[in-house]
Amino acid sequence: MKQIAATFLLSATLLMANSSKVDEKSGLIWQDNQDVGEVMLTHSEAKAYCASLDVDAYEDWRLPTLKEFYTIVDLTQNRPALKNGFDIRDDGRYWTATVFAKNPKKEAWYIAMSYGEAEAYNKSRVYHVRCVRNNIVK
Amino acid sequence: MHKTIVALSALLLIQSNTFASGSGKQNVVLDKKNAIYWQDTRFTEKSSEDWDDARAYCEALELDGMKQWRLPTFKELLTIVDYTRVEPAIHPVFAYVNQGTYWTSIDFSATLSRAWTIDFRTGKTYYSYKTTNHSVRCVKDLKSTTVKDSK
Repeated sequence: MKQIAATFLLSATLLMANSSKVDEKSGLIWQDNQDVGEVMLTHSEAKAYCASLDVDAYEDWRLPTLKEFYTIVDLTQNRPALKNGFDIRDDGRYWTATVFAKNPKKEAWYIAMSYGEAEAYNKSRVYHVRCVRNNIVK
Repeated sequence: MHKTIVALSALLLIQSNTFASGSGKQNVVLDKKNAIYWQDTRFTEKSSEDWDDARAYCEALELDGMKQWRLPTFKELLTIVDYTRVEPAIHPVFAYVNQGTYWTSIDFSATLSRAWTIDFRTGKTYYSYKTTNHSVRCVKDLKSTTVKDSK
């Protein structure tokens, strides 16, 4: 019963898997376990973390690009500006895989999930990480 | 309807699969993926308007015989940002570009006195006071044109 009630609370495009969420609209699967709220890493650590992540028995995780991350941003909401359907809703800054073209070695883009703005910043900063994987079409 | 056909025929594919720009007329870029036209005129480069005036400008715009323009949503404007470039960080199909901030139609969720913008110098996104002056690039839905045209 509880399971059914929880499923009804999810938005139309997000389906429940255990510790990840499927976004049917984009075809992307997003990490959604406690780590998302707790782990804080530098940019290079974030990339390595996603590459070694094992969630819901999948191992092909990666750091999302800036444009991919924006597919789960909902600018009509704030604190966090995150689509409905995710359980982990911490509203700090999240790394994206997109490096800053003007200074690609030193800076990369983050999205601040309180309101949803994106800015490039030094890769040595420690921010949240929400990894993504591609939904494999059979 | 005649005007519509003329406008469509002026749009020739010269770039990627996604964007096409007119060769004779340099006023409009067709974004096939999102099914919208983008304004690309001198005004797009030179404009400096507050949010209300930006909206009013798009609503009154008539370009290549086409009406019913509007400000782009945030996610529409984000589609033409090219994060592999800077100064400007925009898809190269666009001819009239400045390295400044452009308005979107999307209100800031925390206060209606601000709306979302994208800075095309780098691609930075921000919620700006609506009384601030920024640049304007209008869009138009392809649907309203092609539906008429196909009959």
